[in-house]
Amino acid sequence: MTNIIEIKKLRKVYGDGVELVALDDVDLTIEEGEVLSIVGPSGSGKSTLLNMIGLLDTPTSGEIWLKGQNITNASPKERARLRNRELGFIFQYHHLLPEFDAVENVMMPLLIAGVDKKEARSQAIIHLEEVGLGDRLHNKPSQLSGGQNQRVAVARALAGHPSIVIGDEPTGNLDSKSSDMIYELLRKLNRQMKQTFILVTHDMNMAEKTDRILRLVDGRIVSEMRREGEGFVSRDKSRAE
Amino acid sequence: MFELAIAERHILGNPKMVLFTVLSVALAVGVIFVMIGLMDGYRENLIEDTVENAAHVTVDPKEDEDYIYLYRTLTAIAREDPLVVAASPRIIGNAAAKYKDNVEGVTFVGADPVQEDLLLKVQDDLVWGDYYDLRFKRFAAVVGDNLADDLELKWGDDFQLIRGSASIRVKAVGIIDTGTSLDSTLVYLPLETAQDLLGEGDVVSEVGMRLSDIYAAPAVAAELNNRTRYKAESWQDKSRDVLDMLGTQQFYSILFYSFIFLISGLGIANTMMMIISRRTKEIGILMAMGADQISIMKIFVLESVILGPPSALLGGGLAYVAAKVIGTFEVPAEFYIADRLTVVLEPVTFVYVAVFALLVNLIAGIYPAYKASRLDPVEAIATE
Repeated sequence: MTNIIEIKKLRKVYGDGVELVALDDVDLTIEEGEVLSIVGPSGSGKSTLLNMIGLLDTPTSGEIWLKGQNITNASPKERARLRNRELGFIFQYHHLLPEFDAVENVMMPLLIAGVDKKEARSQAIIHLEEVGLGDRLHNKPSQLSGGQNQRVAVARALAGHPSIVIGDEPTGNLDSKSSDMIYELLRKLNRQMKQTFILVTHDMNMAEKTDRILRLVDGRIVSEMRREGEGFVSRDKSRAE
Repeated sequence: MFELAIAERHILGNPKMVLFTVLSVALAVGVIFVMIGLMDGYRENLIEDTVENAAHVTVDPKEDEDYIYLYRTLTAIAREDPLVVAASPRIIGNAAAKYKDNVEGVTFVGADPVQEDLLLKVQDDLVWGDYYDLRFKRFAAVVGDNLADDLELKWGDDFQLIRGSASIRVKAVGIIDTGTSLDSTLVYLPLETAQDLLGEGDVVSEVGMRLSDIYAAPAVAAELNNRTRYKAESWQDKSRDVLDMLGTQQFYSILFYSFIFLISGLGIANTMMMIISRRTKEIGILMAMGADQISIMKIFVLESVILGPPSALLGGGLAYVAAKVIGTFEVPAEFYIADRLTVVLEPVTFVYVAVFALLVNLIAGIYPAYKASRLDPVEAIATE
């Protein structure tokens, strides 16, 4: 498999006076089609790492390569274009646009990409069918349950077939039944479309269903567990060792 | 264009905020439109007043003379121009009018009724009697209505006009209401009678001319000045001061209008910033979906600009209603040149005001939109 993302000595420091190291020389390689979970306590740098991969944030130092291209210093316009074409986001809260119905919300990334409106609509309907909301096309977020909204958000993240789908606690706000449903959905889509999924989660139950689990503490990857058969093989990456 | 779709939904989703924004601009448009209309109305009334109640071209005596002696020749020269509708030799002087025990100071105007009526439409203003009686009755007069009231003089009464040692007795054959302040001093006399009263012989004070095209007055005056040594002056020259004053006032008015627009612009900018602060998270999400800075800016500039046309139209409507209402108020003659304030709403003025309002909406939207486009997506998404 080819590497879709390579991260080299990535460092992010916040603050002017008192410095807060959010990411400390992180090296990471993610393969195409992989389902990766990032776990760790609050403030360990999970979200920061995810925002870097999602091109929403820029590192203090280090490099990010996407599909063999160094995008560390890409212009805001280029980053926006890459977010639109290569990345799909699922947030903890669905973050759907409240004035738009389900189809329109799913259409949005396609319209941003410049896809013709009619084409965008038919693609959006297909994505909503995939997440099992074919009968809720014209409901606005206020008319849908939390789980349904999150499924719309999944459909939106998949619109335009991005190569990487990023989830920041995608089930963090849902009950366990809805969580399982969302996870099964993501897994199914991963099998069908070979997209790469990177999920930040608190939920070990969900993490254990992914291909690889990275554990972050204080801005460092302290352990990495890779699925082999039914179990996980641990590789300790803590530098303290 | 997804930017337009989002802008549209934002507007429809915030009816109250939108209403207030639209109202603020509409009021600015309405107020400015009405004020310009009042100014245009004043100018129009002024010109009408000047043109209707005064000669279009007035010829005064030569430099070193008090009267025009060869006025028949002058009048003949003046009439050669085909644009000249009337040329009326007139003599103007002051006298005292006495009726019973009442005495008032008057300004008498001696003229040939035919020419004078062509010049100033005197007959139209008569409320009693007939101006043309002055052609056949040597000792007859037409008296301003307020003057008649002051003297307690009635139509048909005889009264005395006294100037120095001269005194004549005339009959009031007409009462005139010109609608101006002249009504309390004016006495029309036949030309010869006035000349007798003045005692300077067969002379006139001026020749008043009426033209078929009022804007040809300066050219006609210039022509007469070339051909004769008399001093011809157009109505535009005579009203120069007032017209200049209107010009100066216009400058200050524009300054004032700009401030009104500035205030409504600040109101729009404030509303836009409020909308944007409520939409911060959404802006972050749009950025995550790949909307670039230009798109984000477009959304909010569009939002502001979309409100322009309805504001301008509503403002135009308000101005129209205000103009109608203002037109119903009567104004006392001593305050204004006409008995009602006239608001002239020119479509072209509305177009200027509306375009200006659109510009204000555009400019007011740019800064908040720019701020929105520069938001940090991570922070924006994290906003509660």
